[in-house]
This record gives sequence, structure tokens and C-alpha cells, in this order.
Amino acid sequence: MRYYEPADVETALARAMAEPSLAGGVLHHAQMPARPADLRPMPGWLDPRLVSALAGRGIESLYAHQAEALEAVRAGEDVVVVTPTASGKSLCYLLPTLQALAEDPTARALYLFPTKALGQDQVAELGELTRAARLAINSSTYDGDTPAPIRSAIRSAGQIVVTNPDMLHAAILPHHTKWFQLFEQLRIVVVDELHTYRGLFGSHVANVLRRLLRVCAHYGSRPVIVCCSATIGNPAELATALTGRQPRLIDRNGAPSGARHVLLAQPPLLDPATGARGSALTLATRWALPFLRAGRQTLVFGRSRMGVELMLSTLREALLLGDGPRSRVRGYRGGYLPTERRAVERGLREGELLGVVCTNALELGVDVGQLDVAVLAGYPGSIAATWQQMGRAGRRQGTSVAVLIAGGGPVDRYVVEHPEFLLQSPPEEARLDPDNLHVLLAHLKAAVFELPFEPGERFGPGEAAPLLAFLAEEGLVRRASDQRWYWSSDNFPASAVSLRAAAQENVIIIDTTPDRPRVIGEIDIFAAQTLVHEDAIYIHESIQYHVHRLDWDERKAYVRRVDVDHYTDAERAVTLKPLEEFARARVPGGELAHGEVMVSSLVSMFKKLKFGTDENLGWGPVHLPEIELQTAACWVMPGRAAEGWRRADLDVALIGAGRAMQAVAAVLLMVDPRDLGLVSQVRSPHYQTPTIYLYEAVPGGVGLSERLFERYGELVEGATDLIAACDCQAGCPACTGPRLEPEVDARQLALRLLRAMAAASPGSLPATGAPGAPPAA
Amino acid sequence: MPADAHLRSRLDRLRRERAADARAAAARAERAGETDPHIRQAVAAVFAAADAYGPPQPVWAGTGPLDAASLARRMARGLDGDPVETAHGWYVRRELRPVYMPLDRRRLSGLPMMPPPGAPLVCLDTETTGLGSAAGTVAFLIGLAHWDCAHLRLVQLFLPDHSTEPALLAALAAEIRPGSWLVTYNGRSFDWPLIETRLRMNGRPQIPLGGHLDLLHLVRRVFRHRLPDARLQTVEHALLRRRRAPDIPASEIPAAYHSFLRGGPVEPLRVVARHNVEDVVTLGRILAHLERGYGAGPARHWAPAGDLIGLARLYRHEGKAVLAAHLLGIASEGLAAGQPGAAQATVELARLLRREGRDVEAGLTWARLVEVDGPLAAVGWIELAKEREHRQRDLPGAWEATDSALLKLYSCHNNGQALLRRRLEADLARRRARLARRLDRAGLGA
Repeated sequence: MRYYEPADVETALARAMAEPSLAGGVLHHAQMPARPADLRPMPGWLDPRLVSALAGRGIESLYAHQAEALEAVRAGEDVVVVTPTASGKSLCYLLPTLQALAEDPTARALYLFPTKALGQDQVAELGELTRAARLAINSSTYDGDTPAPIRSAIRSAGQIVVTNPDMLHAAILPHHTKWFQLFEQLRIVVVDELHTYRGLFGSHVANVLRRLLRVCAHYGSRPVIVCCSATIGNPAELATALTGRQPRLIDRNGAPSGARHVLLAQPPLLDPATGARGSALTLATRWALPFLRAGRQTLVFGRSRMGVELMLSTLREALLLGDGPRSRVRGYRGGYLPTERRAVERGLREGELLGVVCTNALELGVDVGQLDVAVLAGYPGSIAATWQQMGRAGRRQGTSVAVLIAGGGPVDRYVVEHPEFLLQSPPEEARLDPDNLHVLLAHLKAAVFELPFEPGERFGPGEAAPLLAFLAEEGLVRRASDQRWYWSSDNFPASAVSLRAAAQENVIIIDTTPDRPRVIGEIDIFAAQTLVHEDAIYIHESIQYHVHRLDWDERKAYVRRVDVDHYTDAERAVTLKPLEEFARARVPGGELAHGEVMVSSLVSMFKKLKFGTDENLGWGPVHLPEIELQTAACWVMPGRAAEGWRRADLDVALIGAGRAMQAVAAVLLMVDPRDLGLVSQVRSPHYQTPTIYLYEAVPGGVGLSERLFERYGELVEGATDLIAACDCQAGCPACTGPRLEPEVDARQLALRLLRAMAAASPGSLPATGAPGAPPAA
Repeated sequence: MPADAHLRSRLDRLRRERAADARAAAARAERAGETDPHIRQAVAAVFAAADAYGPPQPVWAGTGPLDAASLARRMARGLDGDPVETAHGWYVRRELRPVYMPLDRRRLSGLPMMPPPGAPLVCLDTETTGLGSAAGTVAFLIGLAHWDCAHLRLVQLFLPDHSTEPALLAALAAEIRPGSWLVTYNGRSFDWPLIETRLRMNGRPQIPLGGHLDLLHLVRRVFRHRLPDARLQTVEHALLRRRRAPDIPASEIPAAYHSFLRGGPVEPLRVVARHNVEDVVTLGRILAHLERGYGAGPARHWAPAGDLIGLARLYRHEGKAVLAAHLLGIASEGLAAGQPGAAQATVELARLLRREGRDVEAGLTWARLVEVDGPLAAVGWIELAKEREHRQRDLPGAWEATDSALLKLYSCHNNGQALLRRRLEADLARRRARLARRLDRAGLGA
């Protein structure tokens, strides 16, 4: 038999479906037909130089969404363009910008990209187009790498300034007087990759944009804002929250696409008693193999860095057989160095690489061209992310295949068992809270520094006066005799705030095996707690390293290459303390509240697990300081519902009910389940009563907990359904979570608790309580 | 309004948290048994403030701010200045007794970077609320010294309130006559961009200048070789031999002003004003020092060779090679006497002459360097070797010069530039090998 026989995608899929072990796990097989292009003629007013430049690239007409965006921007309307990857989104802002500059060379445009690399890509594309159009247009990236002499040239003469929110925040806005040419003539602001501006980062960026528009108003300009986003559920709402203005939504995709197969699969059931299933990672590699062997470019997405490394090792091993294209399969994830990553991206684009196993690091706007197959080992946590990852496979012509394999959790199970959820419901919404108090105050400081505040002037949600008065007490601002508020401190407020708080705190991983130690990667401190604690086995490019020293203060982990048959898994202990209640309500069987909490995360031990069998080989201690997170949470105190329980039973019930609620909350709010944390306490030290907390993983929160508070009724109902409908006998990872004590029926206990909590009026919404109402006795 | 009440309650909690943090820090300091009375006083103040926060109070309804007029009057009284009311609001103007400062403007203008003799000269130094020229930093004191025949006429402009900045800027614009040359210390990167920022912030036209002499650049190039750093006060002390009365550290200046604006005492600002006067007058003194010690005339023969080398480099930068060569000639006079810097000046002179195509003079200068046999003689020998090998085609002469250079390098081991020496030695070794081949080919043998 020939292992490696080149074939087209359809044939390779047929070969895979011929294998019973693969076909048997498929729960749903959807086929999406090819879609033709929806074309519009070039608008007559478009500059002839642009028309001929486009013709030179083979573009004779525009896709519907491009034409619509062009007309709207010309009419001075803000727009948000939402179409899938590779639909020609960037022309939606490039053409209006170039047209504006062709008409008036003094006009300026500002492009914002979430990362430096994306901005630099864009300038390259811009350069090609302007050269082809023979337009003398000066576009430059202004970022941390821009040399000082060039900076001042960009300030005075850059017609299109390409930068990132961080530079805008710390280098451009505080120095706006030196950028007056830009701000006086600013016509277009482009916010690309809008969907990445969510959570805390998005909240920061929303405030940076508030400051930008404030400075523009000072110079008398009112730029049009063009946002571009990958598919999400609420692009217009997100753009409104981010920019503070109401854009026109353009979501009619006019680009053609080839036919696509979408398969939903789950690993085989191993033990009906415990509900244990095979590993999603194993199944994913088995799905990838037939395509790799047929020579089709395939991406395998894993949810964790560890998962990526495990799958990479497995695939490479499998491709050893018959001397397969082993070296054409690479890994890609956060923690790899930028040069390594660029090499992989290039390899994919140029077809030199056949397969890449990656985390979602590859899902964001990175240009890798269009591939044949995407295999997702585990639900990526959101519909939008799923489509982004699946969208990596799909050419404008020709068939593509996307396979989603359910992981062990309840959300995964829900997704593959309900194909309509993925295939029909709208993708989730991206949220941010621009009025998060910490974020708001930080940017208000920067805003006063930039321009004094007029009496009655608003910033964000309302009048700035109460917040400014607070800053005045801190000795940072002063109200002068003209009643305006002025910055009055020798601090430079923008430098005190980083838009990506976590990014600065990375731990560098240093390999000390070679004579000259070298840096092999970096990871954020939360991940470092569990991945590079001392004696951890850290896996990078499927090579195992033993962490022999972790210098926490210096943020450095020293590792050495090893070859062992186990990996490590550290356990994170999370404790939680409420700081303040924002609202409280009476609910059936107890009480509900939301507010601000302090979450502490401590990793104190790790397990050694054998590869393949996950057999426990022993454990070790971890000595690392606690990491604290001040955030928002929603919590329920099932007072009466929890009366008359045995303490041990109640513990199991609270955990089980909490796990199910956490899963349902992620689906209800359409967020990544990892955005919500769970803590359950049989007797809360704060309230002296049983409590289940669902907290937001982002400092300060982004408004999820308030939404949970409002939709509590659905939460309980959904959790009850999830557990009741599960196939397992006494609780499993897909409903109540991993079983702690085999002889206890977690399923039945959690159901009993949830039913008691829904007893009085199932599904009803709670009445909203007054803020800060005293806790009931 | 629940949203508003919500915000207030959160702000109040923040207040309590911060007060508690401050209290904890103070308690730690107290436990540590601090004996410094200033710190003890500060600790007591923190306790008082923390206690005052006890029940949260609505603060933004508080007492009205001090108005600009009364701030201006109080400031003027405290600083012996005059409150001036204009259409744009108040500022405070203070004129001081002129300082005698004769300057031969023609002689001065012969030096590099200097203003033409007829241009009005204004020395300027600002005191500000922070570092950098970003939008939130304000110049609250602008000190000016107009050079007026034989005197510096001193004027200080003060900002009594954030709101009256247009008045201050208008007064500044009126002070700077068209075509004036500005004299500053680091003013190109700091003071003037800051003034430009302030003008732009207040929607006022930019002030045209005839030119801008930033003495920091000149001091760095001319005097830095014998100063520990290039701070103005270092220059004052080491170059002008002046000692300042106790002064305020620059880092405390913003706080002095902010505290005044919040109703604090005006006295610290007197110290700031004095500091500013000193700085401005020092600018004039540096000009006088340069004119007398380095302008055309016999005085420059007594100047340290290193200073003259720096000046010569500035001349060369301005394309004035003849003047540069002249200064280097003066600086190299002390070569025979082994004066510091003279050998370096000779090297630079010879290089300059060669660049200018004056090869014969260059050769003679190298020869002079070699003759004296100082630490830089090796450089001279290397240059002579090149000259003899390539221009004069004197292979045995070049061989001899190469050997002399190697010996010279070898004998002055301890000149600290090991890397440079190793490179030179390697170069010489290559040259020697090449010369040996060429001599062989020419049948001359070594």
C-alpha cells in the first residue's frame, strides 16, 4: 500500500470517511455550496489612476461590500465592515483613503492595527497599490522601531500614518502639538481587526479613541472611522462601544468562496460508567493524516500549548512511517520567537510547509494564504473563533474541509451535539467595558494632560467633573479660575498605563543546554505559574525541557533538554473574596448578587503524568507567590435551597451545579469559557453561607457579570437541562465536571440543588435590587 | 441617578483604599523608628489625612478656587514683581537690576555657531511643571536676559494661574523683537519646543526667531573633554569659577509651583526665581567667557588645546577649514613642550591639511609629530609610511616608517586602548608583509 498518494481534497476526504474509526465519530456532516461573487462596477468618481492600478492587478469591478463601503465613506459615514478572511476587506479603506489623498494631498489618514507586524504588512500592500497608481503618497509605520530622524518627517509629512493603539496612546496623543498637521487634516481613521479590541484591551483602546476624537475636535477635524472586523455577533455594537459613534454596518459579503465540508466529530466513548472518552488530540491527528498523506495543506488547531506539542510529536512520528514529509510539519504557538513564526507563515504561504499544528496564535489576521484543511482539536471557545480557525481552510475556488473534534468539556459536547448552534446561530458578541473605572480614570488623566477639560465637558459615560474632582484630591489635576480643569502634576500619565497589562510581565524561557544559553520563548505570568514552575517539563517544538530554575523576580525560567516519558500538570488553587456588591436580588431558594471581587491564584503542587496513559507517576511542590486579580463577579447564595444538606454532599452539588452554570454561561453570553472563572464555597468566609461565584478573568471585568445577574433564570434552567440530558450515570467532565469521589453521584446531587434553586418560579428573571442593599440575614 | 450614585460609591471606596494604603505605609515608617524630623512630620500628615478621609465627603462641591487676580497679586507680592492685567488675563512681570556684561559682538560672531553682530540677543530659560515638551507640561516662569550694549536686562514672566497662559505667551511674544537670536541651554530640545507647544495649545501664532544658539551643543563639543558632565551648574562651577548660593533641586521645582496654585506658600517660588535668574545670567557669562578667551586675539594662545580642538571641529563643520587649521596650529604649538592635547591637535591638523590637499604641509606636520616622539608618534609613523609607500614610492622609507610605528606602539603599552592598538598592530603587520614582497620584487630585499 502506498502511504503517500497525492489526491485532491474530495478524494482525501473520501479516504478518511472510509476508515470506520474516523467516520464513526462524525455526528454531523454539512456541505456548504460554492458561492459566486457579487460584483459591482467601479464607481465613476474613482480616480482614473486608481482604476488603472486596480486593473493592473486584475481587479475590474468591486465586491458588493467594497462598493458599499466606498460610497458610505465618501458620504462621510462611519462604517464597520464585517466579512470573512480573504474577502478583500482592506480595499474597503485603502480605496477611500487613496481617493481622498488623490483629491487633496494635504489630507491625512491614521491606520490602527493591533500589532506592529500587521501594520508593517499593510504598509507594504499600500506601497504596491500607490506605486501602481503612480500616486506620490507618503505612508509610513510609526511604531517602536521607527528611527528618531524619520519620526519627525512622519509627523510633518506622513499622509498615511500606520501605527498601533499603544503608540497612539503613549507617543502620539500626549505630543499632539507636534502632530498638528495630522490632526488638523485627519479625514479617515481605520481600525482594522476590530474583533481583537475586546475585554480589557478593548476597554483601553476605546478610551484611547475617546482621547483621539477629543484631540481631533480641538484641531477642528472630524475624521470618518472605518472599522473592519472578522465575523462576530455584534460588530456594530462593538464598533459603537469602541468609537462612541454609530457606524453603518456593512456585512453583505460579495467575495466568492469555494465549496466547504464541515464535520463535527467526537472521540469514542471508552467507559459508559464514567462517561470517559478518547482524547480529542489523538483523533485530531488521525483526521489530519489522510490529508497530509494526500499532500493537502492542513492546519491543526489545539487549544493549549501543551496540546499543540503533543499533536506535533504524534504527527511527526506517524509520518516517519514510509519516510513521509516529516520535516514539512511544524508547530506554531505563542512562546515561539517572532523569527520562527515568520518562517512558518512564509512556509505556508509559499506551499513549502504541508502541515502546521498551532494554537489560536495563528487565527489573528496573520497572512498564511488559503489552505485546504483545518482540523480543530477541541471547540475553540466561541463560534467566532471556530469560524476564524475553520476559515483558514477555504479557497476562492476549490473545495475545503473543516473538522471540529469535541474536547472533554460540557461546552464541547453541547456544540457537537447541537450542529445548529455552530452552523445557524449568530457568532458571539465581543464585549468591552469602556467605563471600567480603573481604565476610565487612567485615560482621563492622560486626557487632561493632553487638553484641559471645559466645565461640563463629558468623557465617556457622563460628565467628567466627579472623576476630575477625585483626581484633584489626588493632587493630579486642578480647577483653575476659568473653571476649566488642568493637569497639574509633574507625572506623565500615559507612561503609567500599559494597554496590555499582561504583555509586560512575560517570563523569558532560557535553554541552558548549549554552551551559550539561548532564549527559546516567553510566556505570560499566569501561564508561567503552571507551565514553567521548577521541575516542570516544558515542551517546545515537541522537544522536552526540564525547568531547573525559575527566577520569579527576574521573570526568567532556566531549562535544560531532557528525554522523559512523562509530562507535568500543575494545579491552580483559586480563592475569592468579595469587595463590594453593586446589586443584590432575591431569587428562588436564595439570593443573587454582582459586584467587585479579589481573586487570588496560587499554584502549590504539580503532578507527573505518563504520556499516552495519563497515569499519575507522582507529584511535587511549587513555591511561587500568589497572583491577585481584582475583577467583577456574579454570585449566588442558595440559602434555603441548601438547607438540610450533608456538608460533603453540598460540596459536590455546589461544584457540579457551578460547573454546569459556568458552561451554560459561556454559551448564553457567547464568550470563551476561559473568560469566566468558578469558585464554590460550602461556607463562604464572607457570607457564612454556601456560595457559587462566577468571576471574570479580566482585571476589572468587562460587564459579563452584570449580564449574568440579569439572565440568572436562564442560567439555572440551562444548567439543569445540561445535566439532566447527559448520558453519564453519576456525573462526568461533560456535565458536572471531573469526578472527585467515584462513589458519590454528583449528577443527582447537582440536579437536586439546581431544582431547588429553580423551584419557586422556574425560568423567571430576578427583580433587580437596589445597589448596595444590605445583605439579608 | 443610580449610575451616578454607583460611581460615587466606587470613587469613595477608592478613596478609602488609598487612605488605608498611605496609613499602612506611614505605620511601617513609624514602626521602623524613623528619627528624621522631616519624615516624622510627613508621617503625621499622612495619618491626619487618612483620618480625615474617614467618612467619605462630597468634594467636588467644595470651596471655590482661588481666582487668577488674587493669585497674581499674591505671587507679585511674594516675588517683588508686578501683577499685570491684559485682555488675556493676568501675568506677573518682574524686572531686575541689569547685570554689567560687556561683549565684543564682532569678536563673538567670529566664533562658530554665533549670532551675527547686529542681531538682538535674548537669553532664555524656563521653569516648568515637568520634563519633556508633551502637551500637559506648562512653563510657569520664563526668564529672559536681553543683551543691551554692555548690560543684560533681566525680565521674568510668571504664570499665576493655568487659565491665564495666553497673557503670559503674549507678553513673551512682545519681549522677543523680530530677528532676535535666542541663547539657551538645551533650549533646542526642551525650552523652545515647549514654548511652541504652549503657543499651539493656546491657538497663538508661533514667535519668529532670527536664530537659536543652544549653548549645550557648543559646551559639549568644546569643554566636555574636561568636565565631568555638561550640566549648566557644572559649567558654571568648573568653567566660570562661580559658586551658587544654596539652590533648589530641579526635581522639586514643579511641586513648589503646584503647591502655590493650591493655596500654598509663595516663598519656595522665590528660590525658584533666584535659580532661574542665575541660569539666565550664566548664559550671558558663557558668551562673555567664549568671546574673551577664544575670540580672535592673543588670549586663545593660553586656552587648553582640547578646547581649541573642539572649536576647530565646529569650524570644520561649518566649512571654515582655514579658521579650523589656524586654531589647530595654535593648539599644536605646545607639542614640543609636551602640553596635553597638543599631539592630538597636531594629528587633527595634519589630517585636515591632507583633506584640504595641502600635502606638503601635512607631511611636515606628521614629521613634526614624529620628531617630538610623544605617545601619538606611532600615528605619525603610520601616516608617513602610507605617504612614502603610495605617494613617494619610497619603499625602503616606508619599511623604515612601518618598523618605527610598530616599535612605538610596542613601547607605549599602557595607553589603555588595547583594542585599537591590536588593530593597528595587525594593520602594520600586513603593511610590513606587503612592503617585504614589493621590496623583494624590486630586488631591494629587506
